[in-house]
Amino acid sequence: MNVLNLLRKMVTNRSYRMLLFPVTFIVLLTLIGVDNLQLVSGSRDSVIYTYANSFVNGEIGTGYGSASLDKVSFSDLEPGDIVLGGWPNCAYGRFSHAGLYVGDNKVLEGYVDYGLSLQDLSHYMEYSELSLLRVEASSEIKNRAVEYALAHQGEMFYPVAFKAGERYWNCSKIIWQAYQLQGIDLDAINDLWIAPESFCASPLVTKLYEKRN
Amino acid sequence: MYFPGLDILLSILYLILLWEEGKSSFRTHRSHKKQALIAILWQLPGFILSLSVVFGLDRLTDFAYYFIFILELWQTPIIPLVSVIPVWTIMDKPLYYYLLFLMVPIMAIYYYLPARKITSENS
Repeated sequence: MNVLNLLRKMVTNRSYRMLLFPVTFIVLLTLIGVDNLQLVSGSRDSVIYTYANSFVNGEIGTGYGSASLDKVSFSDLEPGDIVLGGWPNCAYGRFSHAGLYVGDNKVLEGYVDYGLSLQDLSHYMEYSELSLLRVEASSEIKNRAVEYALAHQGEMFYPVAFKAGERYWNCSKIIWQAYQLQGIDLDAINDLWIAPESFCASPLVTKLYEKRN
Repeated sequence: MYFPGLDILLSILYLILLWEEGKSSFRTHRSHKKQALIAILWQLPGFILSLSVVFGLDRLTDFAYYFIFILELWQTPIIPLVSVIPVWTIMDKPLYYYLLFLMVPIMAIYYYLPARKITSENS
């Protein structure tokens, strides 16, 4: 009861109210920081480090560039393979986008305006950076990962979605989660967030093809 | 530390605080026009971003995709509540996409509403 009264006081009293969110923010930030100390210990692969470093260099957002059509063949791809594309100046590493190949020249991807959706694979040809990755797992596991991802079509895209939870996704989180549930953790450094770059660093994938700018 | 559901609690808390702030603001200014103006100015970035996307002005720039991206980030405090809506697709786009635009005027009205409530209570 006292707690409820205190809460009510904090909400109705303007001086307290103004402090409520900043204090909550600082407390949460501290707790999250303490919970993820492994990222502070010099790991230069973390998403936060990459963002901060890119920001200092003036690289913000998904990057941009002009389409550079490539002659890459996607015919060797199998359902469950990961497709990464990137533009120069991307804030979160070499790759700005990730998709899960589901077969029939379709990839499951995340966009703000479409949510998690099936798109044509061919648009990856335009990226100036391209990487095709194969997860080292049986086709049964990969099919289950694809099924899981497909079951989440239409769900919300949010660029900075935490790894926990299944209400919002970004292009990388859905792939990571689909494999995570099959016992395969594609995030080698156990980061707070997952970015397309993380898949490249995973020892559980092999590179099928790579194009560099 | 983050657990799914904490975001929803914080979002509800945000709406409660916003309502109280709307009440407090009206008690200070005692003007419907000022309260409405504050609400519009507060959501002005959201209005600019959403109108740019709706009228295609974003496509005049090299950063068209960033507009909707930033609009979604602008809506971050209420995104947890939007995330619990059903997964419906309308005209090829998910329902939450339309809500990103709608929430801009809705939030402005939400901030203005305490002024109406206080006025009706006093009269």
